[in-house]
Amino acid sequence: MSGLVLSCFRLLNTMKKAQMRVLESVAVLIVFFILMVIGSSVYFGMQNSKLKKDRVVFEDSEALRALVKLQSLPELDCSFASAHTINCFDLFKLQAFSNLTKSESAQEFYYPLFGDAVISVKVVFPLERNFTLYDVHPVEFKSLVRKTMPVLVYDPVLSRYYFGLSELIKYA
Amino acid sequence: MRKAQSEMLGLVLIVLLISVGILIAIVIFSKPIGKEVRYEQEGFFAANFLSTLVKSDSDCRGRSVGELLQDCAETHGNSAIVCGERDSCGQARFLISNLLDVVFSERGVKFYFTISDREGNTPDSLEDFVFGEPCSGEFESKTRPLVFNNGVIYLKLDICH
Repeated sequence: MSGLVLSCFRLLNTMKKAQMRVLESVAVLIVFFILMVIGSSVYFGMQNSKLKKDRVVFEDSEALRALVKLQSLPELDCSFASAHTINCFDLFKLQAFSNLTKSESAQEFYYPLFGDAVISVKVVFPLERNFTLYDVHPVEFKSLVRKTMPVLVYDPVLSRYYFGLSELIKYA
Repeated sequence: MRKAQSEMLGLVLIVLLISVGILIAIVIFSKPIGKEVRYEQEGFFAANFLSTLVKSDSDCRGRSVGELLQDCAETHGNSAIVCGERDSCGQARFLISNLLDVVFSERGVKFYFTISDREGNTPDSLEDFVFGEPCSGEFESKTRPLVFNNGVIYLKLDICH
């Protein structure tokens, strides 16, 4: 080992000035490339984490959008003489819809709208009832987003509005 | 080391320190995009909660929670509406407290619910309508007015971040 070091020193001593400069340039280039690799790895690492955050935000917004879409479905909304009540589901339509979406053909029909998701509406007060409106969950998934929103559930027979919570679990 | 070399080393050190400082400043001051979206959604949720709450049935003589609150504010707590063992104020308070628990407390979300008049004061009959703890840091706030014969009251819900 010491012999190798000694021979290196002898080589350096015998080097001419021009050779030394070439060696210097090579050393500068090596340092430059090392710095570039470190810099780019830091940059791409930051970009990667930003993309992951953006993906979470996107999935979150998509889930909320799906929940808002659900509220505007004529199959479920509270309307009387073409007057539509915002943020409201009809109790009997909920019942009928939850029965309807148990069939595979209905799930296929609503798949483009909701994708892989589980949607339910829970009446909290004064009744306590739970309706699963759509249930298509994949066998494997990377992440899931859960969104809830307070909604009114209208009972057209008693003409009363109940307090409810709509919940959507979106799989990605 | 020669003087010129030590000066160069000092310069490199200064440049390095400035770059590190700028990097830290960027990390601290750049607000993540995700947070803004989340805050907006919390605001949307709070607004939906208030509008749903006001219109919901109170299970008391076919009145909504909003109507009970109107009655409570109008009659200054001497309401003629009786809901079992409670008057309109008691029933509204019971329902609001329960629903806030179901929607927020059980999910670990911190909130602060208050009712005030136009001047920001709490009417005597609605003094008991304070739920949750005031938010210590940032929060998303939504207000819903409720008109009654003698004026207007404001239901305010803060969702703490």
